[in-house]
Amino acid sequence: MTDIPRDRPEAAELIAVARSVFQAELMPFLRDDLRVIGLMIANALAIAERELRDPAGGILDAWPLVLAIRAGRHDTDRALHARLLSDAVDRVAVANPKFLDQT
Amino acid sequence: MKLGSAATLDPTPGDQTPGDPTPGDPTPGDPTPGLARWLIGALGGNAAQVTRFEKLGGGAIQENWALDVVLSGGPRAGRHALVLRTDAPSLVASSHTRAQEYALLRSAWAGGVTVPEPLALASDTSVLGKPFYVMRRLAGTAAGHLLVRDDRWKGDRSALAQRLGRELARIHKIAPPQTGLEFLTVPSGPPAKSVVATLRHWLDGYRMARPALEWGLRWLDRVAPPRGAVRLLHRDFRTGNYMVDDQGLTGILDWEFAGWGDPDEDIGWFCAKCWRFGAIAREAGGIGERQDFYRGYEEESGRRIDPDRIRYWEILAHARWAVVALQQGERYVSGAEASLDLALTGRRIAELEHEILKATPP
Repeated sequence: MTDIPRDRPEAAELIAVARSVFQAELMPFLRDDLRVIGLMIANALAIAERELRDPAGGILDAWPLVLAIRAGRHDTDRALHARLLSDAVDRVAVANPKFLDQT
Repeated sequence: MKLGSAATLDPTPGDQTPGDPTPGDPTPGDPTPGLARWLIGALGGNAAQVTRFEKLGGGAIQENWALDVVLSGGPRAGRHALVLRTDAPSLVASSHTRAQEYALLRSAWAGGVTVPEPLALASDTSVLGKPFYVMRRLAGTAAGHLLVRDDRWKGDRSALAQRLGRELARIHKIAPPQTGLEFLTVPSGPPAKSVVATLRHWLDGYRMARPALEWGLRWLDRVAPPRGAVRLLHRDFRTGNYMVDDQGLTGILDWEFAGWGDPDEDIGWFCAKCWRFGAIAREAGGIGERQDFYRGYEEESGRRIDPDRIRYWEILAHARWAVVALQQGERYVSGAEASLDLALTGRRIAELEHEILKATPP
């Protein structure tokens, strides 16, 4: 992230307004067979907006970790499991927050 | 999809025909005359008129085309409602060729599994520029999101779940070796370990490490069930891959991932939470109760299902679907296919990894 202020509205704000206008003003006019595509477009925009507002950080250079997992060196590593699970929760919160309510 | 509803020649979208239109050709890129000639050779008769050739929705990996043909003369004279199945622009590495899929469909048909009748294979590229086969077109819908919600199925869900259990048991009666299926590898050790090895092998070539998925694969490798009877698996037997009309099941589709393995893998795939299309309370594919599905399977197979074993395979189902989701997302990311559906499937990896981790604490 840079320190130079961006012009407003910024990316997330543009996506938010585009999605809300699309859903309120265009979706009602879509033919039944195009509604699925409309829902997918709204979903893609919502994911992009959430990601821009709260970029989830992954684990840097995870290949050594993966090799250690495969070799069985983390089979009883509760801390690693907790860290992986918490990272997954963050990513689900971006990609499909409703999924967390179901589980 | 009613037979005879399309009596006029449907102009074919040109995008599936390779090469530029030939100048002077009255219908540039129209494959239907060549297709009609091929149908005469493949199905018999002395004339064939193609009255519909239209791409159907669905199928991220293959293209399905509705094909209506009127044959004159020969043993099959009359109207036929068919589906022509061919490759999509980009392929998933683990899926079979059309010729192999056709052989699988023929084995299933011969084994009494309810599938669209396979009619003819074009393994060369002279007709459409890529291999394809034709089969009978089934009535109904395969759309998972409709099937789990449509009230039409409320009363019949129990019957449908049992019927699907019986169909799966019939697939699992097919044991190696089988003439025509020599291209399938019989796993040498425990089949679950082979699946884990295949998924790891794919992940090795992926551009980024997936520690959460690897955690799950390590767990699955450690507690893998021993080798039992090896049978033919459909390997994508789930809601979305069978057709249902208002009378019930009309056929099992999409045989491109079939192979030899542990029959419990298919049962776990069908019941896995990731294949319930949001209807998570109905544990048999979002359409019915798990015990109805199990009952149909046990009656047809004569084998008792061990619920603990199925639970294992449901976790493995999430891992396999996670790898397929990465593959599908990659088809978009790599620039091979500008598909919104594929792009969104790629992002399902998060919920799949979440589910795997919850099921595999240390």
